[in-house]
Amino acid sequence: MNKVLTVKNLSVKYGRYEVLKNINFEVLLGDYISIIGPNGAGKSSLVKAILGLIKPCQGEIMLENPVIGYLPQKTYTNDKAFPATVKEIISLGLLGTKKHPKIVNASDKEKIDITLKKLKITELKNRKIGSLSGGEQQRVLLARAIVNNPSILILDEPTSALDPEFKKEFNDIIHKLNTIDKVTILLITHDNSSIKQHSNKIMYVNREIIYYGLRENFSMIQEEGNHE
Amino acid sequence: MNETLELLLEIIQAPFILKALIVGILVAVSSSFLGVFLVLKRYSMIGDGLAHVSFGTIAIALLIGVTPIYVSIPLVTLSSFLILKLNEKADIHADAAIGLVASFSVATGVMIGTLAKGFNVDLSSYLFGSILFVTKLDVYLSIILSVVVIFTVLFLYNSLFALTYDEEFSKVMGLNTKALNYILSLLISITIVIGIRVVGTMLISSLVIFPTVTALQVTKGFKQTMIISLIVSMLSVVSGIISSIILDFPPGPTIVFINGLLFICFYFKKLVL
Repeated sequence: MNKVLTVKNLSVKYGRYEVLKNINFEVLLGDYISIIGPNGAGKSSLVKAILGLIKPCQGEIMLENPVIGYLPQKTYTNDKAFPATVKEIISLGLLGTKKHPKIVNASDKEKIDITLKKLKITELKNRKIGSLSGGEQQRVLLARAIVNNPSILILDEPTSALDPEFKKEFNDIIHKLNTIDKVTILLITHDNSSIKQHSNKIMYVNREIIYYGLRENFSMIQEEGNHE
Repeated sequence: MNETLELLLEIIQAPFILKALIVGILVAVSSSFLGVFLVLKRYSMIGDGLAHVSFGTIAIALLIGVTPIYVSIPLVTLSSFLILKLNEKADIHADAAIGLVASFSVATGVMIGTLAKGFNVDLSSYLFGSILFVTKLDVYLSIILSVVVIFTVLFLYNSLFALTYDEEFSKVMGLNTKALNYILSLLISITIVIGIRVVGTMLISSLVIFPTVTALQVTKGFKQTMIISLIVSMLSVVSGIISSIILDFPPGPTIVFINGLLFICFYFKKLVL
């Protein structure tokens, strides 16, 4: 199987506090990995290091394809006055592979239209982002994350602020991206139903990797633990 | 009707008014473009802060007998970088960092004024602008600097838009957000220094804030906000300069007053819509 991401001996420190130590793992093409662990365990720091948002104090991160999609935990839903239409927001996802002046051309507009159609939000195209509901905004930000056809999509608790109905819809969309479009998924989540239904692997992090492997085996370990 | 048109043509053709209009329009374009990014990044008071810094730098220039713009541009730019550094490295919030640098600069300006045995007329004229008395040098410098500002903003438009909407995502996209923030600071520093000739240190921040906030009342897209903000800014500067001559008002406050009226109109238009 093709490796899409390799992390070797990764450590991350905030000041003197080591939030992650000696992290090693490989991600294969088509994996759907749920990253779980208690609050403050370093899950967000791990994905931020992979995304280049924080500098690790040691270790290596190797990506086969530099185009990564990212859906952050914190979205900008609060600023209802921000003047940007849905298509303008999605176009930002295309900037990474462009040279200055980073002009959005006709083929980019086509990519935006295809993504809107894929996520069934074409009718929102010209709406102001602040006028949308939380679920709709989350879909728009997902569209921004996938418009450039990333090899890996990293999501940091994307459904934590959504109501149950939207949560299910959203999880189904991510599942389709993984199974139909073969996008590798790295998902930080506390949502048990999504972990059970969709992910093929689990990474349990608590400042170091406690478990990384197939989901079925993790369930067995958990059950054994409960019996003991 | 014809008489009014003839009067307008006569006014526009007067060389000192033509110079004022050229500088005014260029400042209107630069400040409205930058205003959109600064207001939405919640950094709009940097205009006010840097104007205070300009006051201090003008005092230094007058004391040593140098044309103020030569002293103001480097010192105001350095101050804007200092505000960014204080915000980044010392964890001082942007508004507090602006307040620190601005008040220190004004205090320095006043102390220099005292050393120079009181403020002279030149220094107080910078408080409310003196666009009708711009020199040829002012015009040439304004043209060069404004063109640099306008082209840089247009060239970096999408990157600055990304930075303004979501800085973290911009970093993931590989944009050099640190450099972009410094470029934005440099451009606003230049614009503030030139803009002080138009409306003065007391009112320059209004040229940055008013057009954007006015446009925000009716727009839904980012590009649309840039365009409406530009139109509002140019309309207020041109009509402000001309009406100040006709009504014999000071041009700086007249421009800001018209900006205020336009904001009220757009605000009520939003309520009606």
